[in-house]
Amino acid sequence: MGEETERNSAVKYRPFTFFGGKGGTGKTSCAAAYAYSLSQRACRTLLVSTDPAHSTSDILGLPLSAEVSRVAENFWGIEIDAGLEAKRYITSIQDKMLSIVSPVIVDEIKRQMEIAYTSPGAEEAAIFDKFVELMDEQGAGKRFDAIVFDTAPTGHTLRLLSLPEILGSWIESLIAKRQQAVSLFKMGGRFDPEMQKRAEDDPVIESLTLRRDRFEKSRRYLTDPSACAFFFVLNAEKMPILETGRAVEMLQKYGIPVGGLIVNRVIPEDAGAFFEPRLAAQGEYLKVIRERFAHMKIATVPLLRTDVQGLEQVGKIANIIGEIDS
Amino acid sequence: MSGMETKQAKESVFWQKLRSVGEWLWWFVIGTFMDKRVAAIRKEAWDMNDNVMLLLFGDFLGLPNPMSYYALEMLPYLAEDMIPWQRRIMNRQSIVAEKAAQYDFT
Ligand SMILES: Nc1ncnc2c1ncn2[C@@H]1O[C@H](COP(=O)(O)OP(=O)(O)O)[C@@H](O)[C@H]1O
Ligand SMILES: [Mg+2]
Repeated sequence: MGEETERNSAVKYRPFTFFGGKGGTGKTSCAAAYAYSLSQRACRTLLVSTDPAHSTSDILGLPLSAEVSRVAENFWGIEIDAGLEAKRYITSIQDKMLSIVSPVIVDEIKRQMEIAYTSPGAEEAAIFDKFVELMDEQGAGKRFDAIVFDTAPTGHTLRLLSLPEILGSWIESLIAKRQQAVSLFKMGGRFDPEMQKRAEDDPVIESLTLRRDRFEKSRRYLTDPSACAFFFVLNAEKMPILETGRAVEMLQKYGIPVGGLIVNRVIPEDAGAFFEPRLAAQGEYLKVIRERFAHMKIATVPLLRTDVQGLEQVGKIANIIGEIDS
Repeated sequence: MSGMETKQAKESVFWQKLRSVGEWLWWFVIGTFMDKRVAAIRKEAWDMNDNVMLLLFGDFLGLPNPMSYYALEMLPYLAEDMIPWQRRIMNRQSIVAEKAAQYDFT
């Protein structure tokens, strides 16, 4: 019995775990396996996917949707639909606008709203906002003990995670300029009621401040080593090693804790004569990885006989990946 | 005696007039000076306001703005300024273009 309690308290998890890496290396499989291993240790776990190709549903063998749905005991999943989230955001702005200004003006600037809505950063921002919403409203023990993010291919993810820092300074300068304008309106508006109106509680400063506070909060989550970690999934090949090195440096630059590496699809030693040349090359790359990332936790996941499909298969890698926390 | 009184009265009327002219002049100077100052402040206020608009909605004019998604949530409060602002910017562009056309840069 003593052993039982000891095992339970030994379950280590953090509120937020991210899995990143190049497309096809096995991020989705590893994220699903990690989430599954947590759920099996009585940790209420949410798996979050951003892949528009629905690969998480394929790997779990269960359809996920844009709302949180149950996968198994202590295991939930959601597939964020970036387009849908952006649409919701725009609709709420349009509703607010209709309650403030005349429909004529709304109509006149509709086209401009479309421009911003379809701008290149829009989907990333929509995904990021949903991440923060989940972390803030449902994470850290509220509804889920752990949230596991299966993020999009490396470049995009890094841009996403660097948003709070870049946006932070953009907002600061906006608030400063707007405050200057408002105090000038105050000085110049002594006999001008229209200017006077502008000098009273400015809704622009208010909503800029709200946005800034949200970025700061997400930044606090993302840079807290006790709350968050980022794992890289790679295969024992040459190019991924270089790319992973660059990505690790970039995350460190933004102060985001890197939890370790997962080398996926490692060919077992007893794979047979056919695999011998590959095994030799793989041995070299594994050596390079262990040297290059000597200070990091590294887990290796074997190549399975078949694709990862269904919870049973996921369970096969779950034990190995679960170890990365101990 | 009555002549003295009228002379005094005339004098005081003269001084009164002079004083009121002086006061008027004084307020005229102050007024002009202050008005100019207020006008300058107002112009600065509008310019600063335009700068904020540009930082937020520069992409509407074709300037790339990576933050345009988040800028949209300020739009309800600035929607009324949007059309006049764009007109001002366009005017400024055409003034610059006119000036440039005077000197043949080609
Ligand atoms: N260890 C493994 N053994 C066998 N097949 C794997 C393994 N890891 C991933 N796969 C398969 O490789 C493909 C890509 O994996 P996936 O997890 O979707 O990668 P990513 O999310 O990085 O694009 C999937 O078909 C998956 O089933
Ligand atoms: Mg994937």
